[in-house]
Amino acid sequence: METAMYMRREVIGDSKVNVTEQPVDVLPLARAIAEAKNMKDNDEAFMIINLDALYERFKLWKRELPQIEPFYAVKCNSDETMVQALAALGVGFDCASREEIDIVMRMGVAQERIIYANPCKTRSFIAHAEEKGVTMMTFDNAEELEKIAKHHKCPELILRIAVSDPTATCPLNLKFGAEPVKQAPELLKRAADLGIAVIGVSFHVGSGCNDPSAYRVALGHARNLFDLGLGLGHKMEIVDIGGGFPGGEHHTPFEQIAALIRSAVGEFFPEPEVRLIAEPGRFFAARPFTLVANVIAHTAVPAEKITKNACDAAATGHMYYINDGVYGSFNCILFDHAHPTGRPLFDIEGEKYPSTIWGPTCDSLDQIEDKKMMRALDVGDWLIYEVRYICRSIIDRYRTPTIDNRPDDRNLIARSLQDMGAYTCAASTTFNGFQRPTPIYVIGERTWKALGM
Amino acid sequence: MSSSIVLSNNNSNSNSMSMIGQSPPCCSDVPNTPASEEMTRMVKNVVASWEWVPLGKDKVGIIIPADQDHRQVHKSRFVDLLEFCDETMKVKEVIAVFGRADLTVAAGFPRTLRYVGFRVVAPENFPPTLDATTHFAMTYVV
Repeated sequence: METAMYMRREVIGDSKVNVTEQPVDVLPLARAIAEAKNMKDNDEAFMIINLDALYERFKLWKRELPQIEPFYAVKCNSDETMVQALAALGVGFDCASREEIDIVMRMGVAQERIIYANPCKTRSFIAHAEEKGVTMMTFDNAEELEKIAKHHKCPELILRIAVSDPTATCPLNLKFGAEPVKQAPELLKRAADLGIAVIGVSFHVGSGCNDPSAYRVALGHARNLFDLGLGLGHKMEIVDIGGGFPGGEHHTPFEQIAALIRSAVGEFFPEPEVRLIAEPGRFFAARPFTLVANVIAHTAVPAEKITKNACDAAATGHMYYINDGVYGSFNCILFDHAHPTGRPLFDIEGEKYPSTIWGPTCDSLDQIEDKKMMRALDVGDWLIYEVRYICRSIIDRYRTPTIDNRPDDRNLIARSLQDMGAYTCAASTTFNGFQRPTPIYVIGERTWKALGM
Repeated sequence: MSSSIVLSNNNSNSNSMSMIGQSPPCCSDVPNTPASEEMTRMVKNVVASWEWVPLGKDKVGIIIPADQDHRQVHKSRFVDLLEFCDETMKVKEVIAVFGRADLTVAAGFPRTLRYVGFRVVAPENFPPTLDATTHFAMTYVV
């Protein structure tokens, strides 16, 4: 149905990828696909995966942090076509499970480009890593160290330390990572006593880092531990600066974070022989994904029911139910402090009403948007979604309690429409029966050539 | 632990959990076997207030208070529990079960579990003995 929109089709792995002559323009493409679906009475939600956007993120990384090798955090989004495109660009992979190791190796990625970084490693997972030839893995306590020594013949361990940015959108559990001043040196010594090779130090400042100075503090600790490890006979050669890099617009732009990291790396690790790696997830995965979902049910209600304001009792509000929700692509709402902001796919002028958007499950948690001002929709209409990571204070300001004092939601819709990929498909593609939106992969001719696939 | 465990949204207990002896619309009895007793010991070894129930042939549910503080959970003991479920209980999935009352998914223990590899269970995929309207569940493939 959509072939007329594309120049030709290619294949990445098991997926068909639509190649366009010009760089991909997602909004008109989404509209064309929706119109084609309407002609066929097909109301299934679809996800446009724009590989041009993925390549742009890769180029941005290479421009800002050329000395740091990205190891994509597969848990963020395990879409196999995206993983294969990243593999073609030479990216390494941070895997947190057996399943993720298998996905990445099925894409032809060599085990040397994989780091196994689950914070809670069971014996069977360690044995699986050994069976697959994956040697690089993190550790942060003595029990884990001894378990790896027992169940893996030739591990190359990276000591994970706990240095977290407390202002990060999603700070990591401080239990994940050894305390860097007292506990971490003891672990290096214990590893030396056991004859286990430690090859580096890693940390993770937390997702959505707001205070990039956390990287500098962490790199300072890593330097100390590097020197200590070298003194104990470990062949220290890797510094893993973890993740936490924003996937879209953020309070602290990626460029600003990168500048601080470059400066801190130059200060603490000027030696060119030190291998610097990172574990970006949302940095790559957030932008390329755009969800388009269909309204499958609608109820008109007193606006008061939505705004919770008695003044709105006589006004009309609307509740819409769409065919994707928090147990599918909107999983990021539950865990990731994400606030997806949808809008009707087709621009039609009309009076705006307080509206609530629900997923399809009739579950009280399955709410996607609340107190949203939007024109009236019918069953069968389409909504297009991105994910915005914006200040809580801004969200609160826009969620004012009355109808009259609320700005147009479009003020919140930023330039890009492609921000729906972080911590979404990873949750929605596994064994739990979530219905995944139909994926539609698109790539511009120039990017296709750059991938060299 | 031979009585049935009822998970209730209305319970004032912080973990939304009570134990009563009648057949509930939720979890079945914990069998009285040596492996079950050891499983109980392993669960209590992580956090004393945690409980567990079998959920069908190849799944176990770990019942965790909604307000569980991750700092009170010993990581190595938690990994020991996962290994016990894998190697001794021979289950395919470990399901973390929370009462919905007072549960904060994004800021609470569910978020910690996601980093370990647990994934959300959609209501339509809940084990039949567990009430999806009053509980939140995450599953881990061992």
